[in-house]
Formats: sequence, structure tokens, C-alpha cells
Amino acid sequence: MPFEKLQDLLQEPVHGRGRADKAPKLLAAMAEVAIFHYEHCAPYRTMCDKRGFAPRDLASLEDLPYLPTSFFKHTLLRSVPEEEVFREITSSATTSGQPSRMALDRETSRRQSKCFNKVLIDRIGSKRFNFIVLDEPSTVGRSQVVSARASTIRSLLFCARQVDTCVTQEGASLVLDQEKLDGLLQVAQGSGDDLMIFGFTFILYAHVVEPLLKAGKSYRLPGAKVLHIGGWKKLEAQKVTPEKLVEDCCRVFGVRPEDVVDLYGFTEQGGMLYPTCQAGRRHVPAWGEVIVRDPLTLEALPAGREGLLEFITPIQTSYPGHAVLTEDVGLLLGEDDCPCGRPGRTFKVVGRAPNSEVRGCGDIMADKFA
Amino acid sequence: MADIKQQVKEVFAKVMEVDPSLINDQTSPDNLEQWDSVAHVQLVLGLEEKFNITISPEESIDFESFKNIVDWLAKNLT
Repeated sequence: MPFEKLQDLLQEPVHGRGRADKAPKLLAAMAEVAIFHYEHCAPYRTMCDKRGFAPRDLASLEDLPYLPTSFFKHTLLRSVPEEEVFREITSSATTSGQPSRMALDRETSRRQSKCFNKVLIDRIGSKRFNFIVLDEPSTVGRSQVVSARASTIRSLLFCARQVDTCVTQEGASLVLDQEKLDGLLQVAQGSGDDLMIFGFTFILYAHVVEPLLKAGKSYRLPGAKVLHIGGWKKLEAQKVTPEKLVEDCCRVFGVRPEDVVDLYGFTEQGGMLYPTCQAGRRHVPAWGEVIVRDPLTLEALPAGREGLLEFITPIQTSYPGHAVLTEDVGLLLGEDDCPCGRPGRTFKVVGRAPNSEVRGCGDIMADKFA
Repeated sequence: MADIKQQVKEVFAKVMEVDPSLINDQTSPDNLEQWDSVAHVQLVLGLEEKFNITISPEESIDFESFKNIVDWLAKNLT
């Protein structure tokens, strides 16, 4: 069976059974896919050879050569024949105008979706929600052409029962329909249905939560969940911390702090999702690992020290996206010790590295909002 | 089983806006362009209504083909 070790790994519970159990299984699957990419992707093989790395000798995850996200901007990497590539994924435009490009075959696409769904279900429960999406209707409609932003929203809809949007497009600008939002929240307040409010982080805060607070408006939605994703750069400029966002969401929507979930992920490793847990930390599923590297020496750092975040996972087999060094800064918080009870490493994302590009749907979308 | 298959085919045809004769055991998102993430949600909700059941997001993770769905329903409707 192809990718036998990877298939075994994906049978594990979402957060595995702790470090001792996880490490050997993940290492075996990583060696399996590293060998595959080495044999099927010439640019990856060249990079490994230059670094003197032989995938068959992989002894630890830290030794695996990583690709910086910039690597994906220069060339379309693929480890499968061109005719098997059914979709090319591009990241949302960045300030340099050069998006990352990834080649997906159907197998990788299916695997990514399953992994994504399992992680989200683990966090929010296996039930269907009425979604209020803080975006415009076309992002959730049937369409042949799907933007990166719409793709992010659609990936969440597998747990939807009903979907409403409350943003309108007026020329080149996006405008919040406050009346509609108020109506939807009033209905949700009275119905007791499971509600999910989803928005890109900046839009959620700057265009919904903050104005509602200023207007002295609030709702009582104790069972609802607030999901958000996207860049923090613009909110940081306004001195809004993740803690303040949670606190203000609770004040406005009447939700519990543990029901405000901040999602993190990046296009170069589609299917990998890192929601904040009930304790506010981010976990890595059984089929992945996080390493924090010193920005100067690139050595792996222990818990508590800030550095560049590297993510490892064997789930994409159509391109060598199995070890990616991001431009995001973060730190390890601990291992097998999270108050939420999930085993494995936990980490925190602090922000973007200095001089890195603004990227991500949230920060890009923020510029479009009127 | 044949009855379930026919009913699932009807839901498929309605949601995907395709002729029922185009739906068979091999039909999957790989070969039916209309079967995207939005259609998938509508499909699951359509099946819930048709068969008067509840299908959790976890259960629908493995709905990867027409046959998968029919098999799951045959197993869970009894």
C-alpha cells in the first residue's frame, strides 16, 4: 500500500497519545514521504543533496531539511506527474505580489480536507451550526472560481446547517450590513440553535465587536462559538491583543471565553489547522509537529524562547510541503502539560517576523473594508 | 438497498442539478464537477431530510463517493 506509515498515522486519535507514542510513528511517516519527494521532485532532491541530507538516514525531525515559504514563490513544486495535478493552490496576494504556489493531486486534497475536518471537530464538537459569516454572499455560493478567502470559509462549512452572510460589496469596498447582523443575532438569541460566528480577525474586531461595544450593544449567546482566522498585524497596530479580543467578544456576544477560537494555518501546508484550545494554547495533531528555530542560527529552540515557527507534516504527498519554515514568530509553551488535557506540544504565535510581508486573507481583506 | 440507492440518486440529482442517469457507484467529487464543498453540505442536509435522520459532521467525513453514502445509509437506516 502506498504511504503505509502515513495511513497508519492518520488512524491515530487527533491529538495522539502523548510524546513518547507519537514521535516514532511521525518520524517513520516523515521518512516515508521525504524519500518519496526526494525520488519524485528534482528541486527537492537538489536541495537535500546540497545540504548533505539522505532521507533514508532520517534520525530526528529536527534534521529534516525545511523549505522556507519563499521557496514556494519561485517554482511550482510537485512530486506527481503533471497530469495528476488537478488544482494549483495559490496563497492570497502578498505585499510583494508574489504568491506561493502548490500542486495538488486529488489524494492530497482529500487527505487535507479530512485532517482539517478532524481537527476542527475535535475543537468545536461534531454538530451542525447555523453560521453567520462576516463576509459577502459570493464567498459561500456555488461558483467555479473560488478565491483564497472564499476557500477558507468554504472549508469550514462541512459543519454548517444554515449559512447567512452580512457583508455587501459596494464597488471595490466591502460594507457590513449592521441591520442584517443585528437581526441574525436577535433571532439566534431567541432560538437556542447552535450558532457559529465566523470572520477574519480584523473584520470581526474592528468592524463588528468594537463598533457594537461603542454603541453599548450586546447579546446573550452562551452556547455560540466565535471562530476567526487571519493576520494580527493590523490589530497589533491598534494595540488589540488576543486576550482583549476574547474579552470583548464575550462582552458583546455573551459567549464563554473558551468558545472564542482563533484559527491558525498557512497555505503552504493546506489541511493543517491549529485552533486555540480551551486554555488558549495551540496544539499540533498526531500527524504533525512544530519546531521553533532561532532566527539567526536556525537551531531548534527549547520551550519559552521565541523564534521562527517550522511545521512538519506528511499529509501532502503531491508536493514537498512536509517541512516548512514560516516567517511567523512564536514559541513552544510546553509538552503533554496543557490544562485542556490534549497531549503533545503546545505553542503560541506571536506575530510576523520583522520585514516579512503582510499576508493572509484577513490582513489583505482588511484593506478592502469601508 | 435498491430503494436507498434510488432515493440517494434523487437527492444527488436535485442538489447537483444533474440528470440522475449520470450518477452511479463511481460518482465522486473527482468526476462530478458540481460536487464541491458547498454542494456537499447541501447534499448531507438533503439526505437528512429525505431519510429523516441526523448525520453528524464526523459521520460525513467519509462520504467520498455515491457508493460510500449508499453503504453508510444502508448500514445506519436499520
